[in-house]
Amino acid sequence: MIQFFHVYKQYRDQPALTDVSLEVDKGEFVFLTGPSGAGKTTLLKLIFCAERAHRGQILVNGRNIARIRDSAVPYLRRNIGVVFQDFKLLPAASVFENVALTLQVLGRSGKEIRRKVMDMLEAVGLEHKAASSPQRLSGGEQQRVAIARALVNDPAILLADEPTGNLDPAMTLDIMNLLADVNARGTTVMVATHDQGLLERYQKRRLALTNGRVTEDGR
Amino acid sequence: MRAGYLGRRALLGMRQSPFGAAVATATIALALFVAGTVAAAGTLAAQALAAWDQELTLTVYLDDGATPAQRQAVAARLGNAHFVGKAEALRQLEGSLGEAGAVLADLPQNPLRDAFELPVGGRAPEAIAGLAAEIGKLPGVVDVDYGASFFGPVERLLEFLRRTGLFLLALVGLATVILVSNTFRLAVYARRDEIAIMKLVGATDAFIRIPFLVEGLLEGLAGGLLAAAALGSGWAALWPRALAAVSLLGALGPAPLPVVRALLSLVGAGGLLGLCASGLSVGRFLEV
Repeated sequence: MIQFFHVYKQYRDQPALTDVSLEVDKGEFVFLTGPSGAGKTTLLKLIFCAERAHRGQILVNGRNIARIRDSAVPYLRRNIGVVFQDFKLLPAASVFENVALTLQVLGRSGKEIRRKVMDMLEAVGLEHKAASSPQRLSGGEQQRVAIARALVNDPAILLADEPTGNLDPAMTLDIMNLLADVNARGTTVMVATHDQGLLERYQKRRLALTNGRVTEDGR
Repeated sequence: MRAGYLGRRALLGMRQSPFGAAVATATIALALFVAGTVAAAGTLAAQALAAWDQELTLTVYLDDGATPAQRQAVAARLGNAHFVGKAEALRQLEGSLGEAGAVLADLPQNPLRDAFELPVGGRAPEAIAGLAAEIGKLPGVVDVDYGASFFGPVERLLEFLRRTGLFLLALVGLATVILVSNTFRLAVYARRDEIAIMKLVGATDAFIRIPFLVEGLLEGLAGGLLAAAALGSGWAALWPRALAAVSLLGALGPAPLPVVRALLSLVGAGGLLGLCASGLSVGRFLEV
């Protein structure tokens, strides 16, 4: 599903990723670990084309995205859901509108949007808060909304960058269980985290980065 | 892409930043009002000059002692000229003075001269000046008049005003685009997070750009409508008074300007200005 071949990325003169090669299969759950500044976020950004690699090849779903045209990036992203530590929700829009945005971008009909968004909110346990403002929700609930937005169009891949970084232990468990459920339904999930507790609790494949290099692959 | 959704997003954008929308609309309205006023004044001045030019007459005054042969030579050189004897000239003067013309009856003798009048409307100013100079040298001719002291400077002044007006119009247009695009830039900047999230979930640049363009178009059209309404009502109120006050404007006829077409053009120009200004401001926020 995701393949890196000798990928290099640097910011100005500072190397962020050096000679990274890896492979993630369809339906896998992978933890991307390492200390802050190890290159976890950069690696995720390369997958959804928020950054471009300087050298090497990256294949996502069989497509070489190292050579993808800018105009093709939106279509790639429609098959990748992304979740961030800071949720990135629109405060002026309701929970429903935040999740609906993904489908509006795809040009879906109002009827289909209503049905899919409510189904998705039910799946993350927030159907009763569809009309609420995200600002009135707890951190865990906000992250559930972000996950619902990322998954409402059934992407093949879900990338989560420190999704529990702002949450207390109970909410962390809640979100991780949700991600595990998503993975169990067939979505490939990559979670960047430096939370050792999570890694020990969930015995999943672990890809460790140190100073931009893959130093451990628990495949 | 759904047109209804994009239109709703444009209206939502205007509702989210009403102050920005009002500033953009007012700026476009003001710029178009100034441009429309300058263009109307320029067109009227050019038309007045052209009408006056059509009525231009070269008058050749003859010496009282000019012999019949000299008079014949002048007439032959002028061609299709109309002779106005001094008695007829005095009658015309009396008629033009109205009641005050009665004082002319007390004159001991007619002070006017015999003259030839030649219509020279439409001819080049240089050609008229050349003919006047040539006729002025003929024996028996005391003076040649075609409004040279007035006609030349007025035409030069109008040409200067026309060029300055065009330059100012271009300047006002440029300043408006810059000002309005900055207003749009603020509105787009306020929604940069929304744009970033839309890009994240796979929105194309066109999908993000179109609502802003529609917003620019709507605000531009509204500005154009305001300017057209102000200019249209100003024209309706002022033109009859101007006609009554300045007799020269009578030569232009009752409807010297294509008012409806000009006002519609203003509305169209407003839409175009809004479109250009919003198009210029969205691009830089699409790099995510």
